[in-house]
Amino acid sequence: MMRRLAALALLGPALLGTPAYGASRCDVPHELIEDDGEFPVTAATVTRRQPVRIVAIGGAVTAGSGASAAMAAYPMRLQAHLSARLPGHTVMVFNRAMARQTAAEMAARFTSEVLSERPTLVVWETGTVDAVRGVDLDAFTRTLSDGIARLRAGGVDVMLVDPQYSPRTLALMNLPPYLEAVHMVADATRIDVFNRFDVMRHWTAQGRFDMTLKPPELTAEIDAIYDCIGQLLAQIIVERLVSEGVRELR
Amino acid sequence: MAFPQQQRPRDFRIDFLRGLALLVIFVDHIPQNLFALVTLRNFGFSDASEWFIFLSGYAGAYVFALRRARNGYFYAAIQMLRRVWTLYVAHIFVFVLYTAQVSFTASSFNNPLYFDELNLGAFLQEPHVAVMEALLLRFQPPYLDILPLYIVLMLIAPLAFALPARYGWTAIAGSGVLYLCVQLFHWQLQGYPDNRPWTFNPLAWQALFALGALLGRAAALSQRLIWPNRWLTGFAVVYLAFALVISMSWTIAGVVDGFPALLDTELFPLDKANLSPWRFSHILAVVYIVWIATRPDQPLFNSRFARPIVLCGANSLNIFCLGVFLSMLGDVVLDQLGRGLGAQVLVNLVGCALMIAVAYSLDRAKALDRPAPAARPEAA
Repeated sequence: MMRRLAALALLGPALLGTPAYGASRCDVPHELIEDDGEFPVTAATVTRRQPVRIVAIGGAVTAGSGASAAMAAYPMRLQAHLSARLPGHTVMVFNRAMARQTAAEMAARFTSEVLSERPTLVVWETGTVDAVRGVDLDAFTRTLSDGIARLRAGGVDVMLVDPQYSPRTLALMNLPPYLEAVHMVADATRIDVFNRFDVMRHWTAQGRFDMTLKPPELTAEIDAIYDCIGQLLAQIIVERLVSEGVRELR
Repeated sequence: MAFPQQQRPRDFRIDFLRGLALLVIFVDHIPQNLFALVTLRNFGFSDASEWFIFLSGYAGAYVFALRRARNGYFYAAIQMLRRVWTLYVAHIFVFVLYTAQVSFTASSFNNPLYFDELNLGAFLQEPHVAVMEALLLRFQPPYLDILPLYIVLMLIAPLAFALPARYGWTAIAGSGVLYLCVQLFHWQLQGYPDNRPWTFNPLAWQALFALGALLGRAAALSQRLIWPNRWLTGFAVVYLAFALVISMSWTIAGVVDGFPALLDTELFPLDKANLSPWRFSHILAVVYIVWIATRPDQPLFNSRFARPIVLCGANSLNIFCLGVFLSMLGDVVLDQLGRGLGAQVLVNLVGCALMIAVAYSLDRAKALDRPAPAARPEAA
């Protein structure tokens, strides 16, 4: 059951204590954002200096729940950070998130709302709603692998975002198996997962963001979290492009 | 000897194993618990749930057979149904505790980042429906899902036990056929909300309970059903070693990057809801090995060191409920303390210590309730 479950987040704070963090609130140990996914389509697009088109699909958080504006959602922050790291390139992010949809409900929108944007990369955030609704684990796993296969057949790179960590809500849903399933499918299909669970667990353990505030201070705090997620996603994408051999980024 | 059954020494094996299962359930139920990396489920396909249901079947049938021999079927059945009522009340009590915790968390911690996606609606928006569904055992929040299974099995058991002894094997065959039907045709019970399947499908898990009951009844009647057999032993040991290697590779792969998770795509996830044959055969192999390797009066199980665990097992329902409550509380405490190694050790140790302390107190109170042995008239 514990397999792959937030191994680092679990062992990290337990064994290392809580080291002081660096200059940025967003910093995480580099192990948390290491993976071995491939981004061939995006790499070719950047090399040919064509626009990088990213579609984000996911739930409430991807839609920007609790943020000050739609532009503060993490996909839009990804657009800002990735543009900054790819000067001279056009980066466009389309946010197709919708609250409270299962993986299957999202996959049903792939043709009409995701592939129709002719994306180079799809960022798929999923797992929480399936855990809340107790969707059959085999069915969830199949939906993920089929969805990834369909997107890739459409000539698209895919990246998954796993369910987020939230203190004291773990009793509301049986999250661990779904978290594991997301990572298992990603490993099997050799795509990247953004370890949002581990990353947010790390931030919570270090008290980086104060989630006990009330609006409007809370809104600013949520904006800051989304900005950090966008920044880390941009960092991951650039690192993968470098390992794909995109020359100008070296 | 009027009542040979009563003079048989208590089988401390059962209490010990059940106590162990309860402590493991507590540890496994704390979200993100480091110590859950070294519990039963990491060393084989089956886990504490299988032990709990098997031993419940064993203990249930054992007591039933003794009572039936003493006072007849009707008495034994009524006593069993009284037990079901106690279980039901305990389940509802734990449910209320859970509800209080969730409502408190949701209201004191109402953060859109965390709660927009969770849709507590089922729970907080239509509490009248949620409560009704909980009373019908259809609403099973995480970790409150094994008692509904236990209750249903104990409710059906007196009917199954009503069959004359010579049909015992027919009943077991029927139970096995039902299990196979679940595996082949995916029969299941629907729960709440969204008609989700039960976390533990009673149609599948009844087979394990029935096998436990078969052994328990045989023990009560001083029959022996399990004999050492070189081939069976060899087969069981090989299978357990196989499961050990596979499961440990899964656990280690979760902690050490790049460690291979063996047979990952072929076997994972092992279907717990429907008691996948991998899990079922694993618990059977463990039971077989434990049963041929130990005797009921093994001093080990009655030793000073085993005593705390034996007492937990002897008071299983109280300790189970306490464990569920403590694992919810442990999660909150770990959130406050941070999840450093020290905090994790503390929460696990204090939790287990509390469970053992309560088990000791209950045992002490029971001992005082009983008349002193000298005052009891000898069986004439």
